[in-house]
Amino acid sequence: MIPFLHSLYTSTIVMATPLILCSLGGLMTYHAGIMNVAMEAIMLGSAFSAVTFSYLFSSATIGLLAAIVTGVIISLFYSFFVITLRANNFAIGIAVNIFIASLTLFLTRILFPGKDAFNSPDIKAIARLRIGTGVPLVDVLFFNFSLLVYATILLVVIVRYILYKTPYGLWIRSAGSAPTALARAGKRPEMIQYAASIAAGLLVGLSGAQLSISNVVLFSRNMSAGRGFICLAAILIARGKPFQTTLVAVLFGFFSALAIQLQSFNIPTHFLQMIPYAVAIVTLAVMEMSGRKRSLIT
Amino acid sequence: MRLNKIGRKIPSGLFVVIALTLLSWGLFIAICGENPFNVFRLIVTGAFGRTDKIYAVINKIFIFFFTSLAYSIPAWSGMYNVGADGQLTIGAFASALIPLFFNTGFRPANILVALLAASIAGGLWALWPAVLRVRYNISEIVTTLLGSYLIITFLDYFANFPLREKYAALPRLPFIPENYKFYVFGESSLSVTILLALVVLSVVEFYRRHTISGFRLKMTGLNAFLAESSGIRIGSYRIWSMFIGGMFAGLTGGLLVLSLNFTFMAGFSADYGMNGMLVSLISGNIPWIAFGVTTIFAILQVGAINMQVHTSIPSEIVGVLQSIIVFFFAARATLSLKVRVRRPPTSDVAARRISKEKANRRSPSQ
Repeated sequence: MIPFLHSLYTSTIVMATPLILCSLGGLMTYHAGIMNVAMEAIMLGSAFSAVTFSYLFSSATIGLLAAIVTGVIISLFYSFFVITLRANNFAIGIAVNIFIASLTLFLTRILFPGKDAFNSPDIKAIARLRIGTGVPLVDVLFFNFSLLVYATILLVVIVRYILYKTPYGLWIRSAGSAPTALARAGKRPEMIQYAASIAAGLLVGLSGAQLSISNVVLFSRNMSAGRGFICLAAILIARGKPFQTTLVAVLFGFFSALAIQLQSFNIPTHFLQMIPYAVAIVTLAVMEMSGRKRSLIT
Repeated sequence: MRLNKIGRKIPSGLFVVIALTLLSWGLFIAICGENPFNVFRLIVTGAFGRTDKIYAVINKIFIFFFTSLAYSIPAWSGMYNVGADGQLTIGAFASALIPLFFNTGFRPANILVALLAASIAGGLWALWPAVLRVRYNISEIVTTLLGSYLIITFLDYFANFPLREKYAALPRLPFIPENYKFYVFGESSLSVTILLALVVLSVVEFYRRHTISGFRLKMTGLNAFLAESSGIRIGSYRIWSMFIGGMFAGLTGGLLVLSLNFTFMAGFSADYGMNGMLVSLISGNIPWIAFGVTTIFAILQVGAINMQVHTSIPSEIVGVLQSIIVFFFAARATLSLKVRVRRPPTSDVAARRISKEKANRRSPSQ
C-alpha cells in the first residue's frame, strides 16, 4: 500500500507539472482575450526541440532553452494569424496543431527512419534536486523532483502576482476584457496581446520540456496526446484564476497518474487511458451545468 | 481609435496564394536536400503513372471529402466539429461489428444496414457535444476533441480483447464476409465510393444553395442574432448540423471498413478527420472546392509514396505541405479585404462578455 501511495504521489507531481505550466501559459493569453487553441501544438513542438537539442548538445539546459525558444516562436506564429490577420482563431489553432504534429513526425522520421519515436542514450534529462534531509517522509514528499517542478511552484505564484498585482497584469487583463478602454488609455492592445503570447509560449515551452526530457527521456509521435486541450478545459473550468486552474490541473494530473499506477492491477490499460479525458469532459460539463453554485473552485 | 490599416497593399489573389504555396513547398523540399522539381515530378508520376495508382487516388477521395463535410456542415451553423476522428472510428466499429451478428444474405441490404449503423453511430457521438454546447455553452471544440481521444481508446480495447480475432497478427475484429463488401467497378480495384462522393456532393451543394433549410443553416452561422430574431431555431439547426456532420464522419468510417480495410483494427485511424478538417479550412467550407482540394490531397498522398522510394524524404512530408496551404489561405482572406475597418482588436473574452450582456438584456431564449 505504501509503495503504491508513494508512486501515486510522485506520479501525480510528474504528470501534473506539464499541465500546470501549460495552463499558466494559457492563462496569459486567456486573460488577454485569446482562447489559445494552439497550446497542444506548442507543447508538442517544444517537447520535440527539447529532445533534439538535448541530444545534439548533450545538455539538458540547451534542450530547455530550445524548448522555450520553440514555444515562443510557435506562439508568435499563431498569434500573428489571430491578432494581426484576424483569421478565425479555432481554424488557425487547428491548422497549427496539424502542422506541428506533421512537422515533428516528419523530422523524427528523418532522424530515425521508419520509427515513430526519438530515443537515444545521448539525451540528457533535466537535473533533479538530489538533496535529502535523511528523514524518509520529508524526502519523499519534497525532494528528488526535477528542478522544473520547483520552478513550477514558483511560477504559479509569480504568474498570479504579475496578473493581479502589477500594472502589466492589468494591461493584459484589460486587453482581454476591455480593449477599447486600454486603447484610450494609450496602450496598444495588440502589442499587449503579443507580449502575453510570448509569455504563454515561454510557459508552454517549459511544459513541453518537462514532458520530454524530464521523467521520460524521449519523443514519441503525438506525445502531448491532447494535453493542450485538457489544459484549455482546466482554464475554462477555473475561469482563468491561477490558483484554481493549478488545482484543476493537479486534479487532472492525479487521474493520469492513477491510470498509470492502476496498470499493475490487471485492469486493461485502455480504460485507464480513458480516465483523464473522461474526467476533463465530465468536470467541464458539471462545472458549466451547475452554474458554479457548488464547488470550492469559484 | 486608430484605423486598422488592413487593405490591399499586398497582392493576394488566388494565383498569388497558389504561387506562394508552391514556392514554400519548393523551399521546404530544398531545405531537406532534394530538388523540388524532381520531387514534384515523382509525386505526379507516382499518382498517375500506373492504373492502380490512379485507382488508389480515386479511392481515397471519399475519405477526405466526407470528413471535410463532417467539419464543414457544422461550421455552416457556427459549430466547430473537431472530433471527426472519433466519430469516424465509432462508425467504423459499428460497421465492423454488425456483420458479426447479422447477415441478411442480400448484399445491398447488408451494406445499407452497415452504413446506416455507422452513420447513426457517428452522428450520436457528435450529438452529445452539440447538446452540451447549445444548452450549457460548453465549448464543443474541447468536448468533441477530448471525446474523440476517449472513444478511440475505448474502441481499441474492444479490438484488443473481447472481440479480437484469434491468431490475427494485429489486434482487430474478424474480417467482414464477402457479401458485406462495398461495390467495385467490374473486376478492377476501383471502388464505387467515388460515385457515392459525387452524389453526396450534388445533394449537399443543392441543399446549401437552393433550399430554404440550407439558407437558414448558413444564416445561423453567419449571424446568430439575426437568425434568431428572424425566427430560425438556431439551437435545433446547430444540433442537427452536428449530427449530420457526425453522420458523415461515421459514414466515412463505415466505408473505410467495407471498402478498404474489411475489418476494424486497433489504431487504424491515420488522422483522416484532421486531414478532412484541413481540406475544409482551405476550401472555406464550400463543398465543391473541398472536392477539388481533396483530389489534390489524394494525389499528394499517393504520389508521396513514390517520392519516398526514390528520394531521402519520408512521405510524412505530405502532412506538412498540406497544412502550409492553410496558412496562406488564411492570410489571403484578410489581406484581400478591400475595406478599411475600424474595429477594436480581437478579444474572445470581450466578445463573450458583450454577447452575454446582450443576451441578458433580452427576454430569455434558448
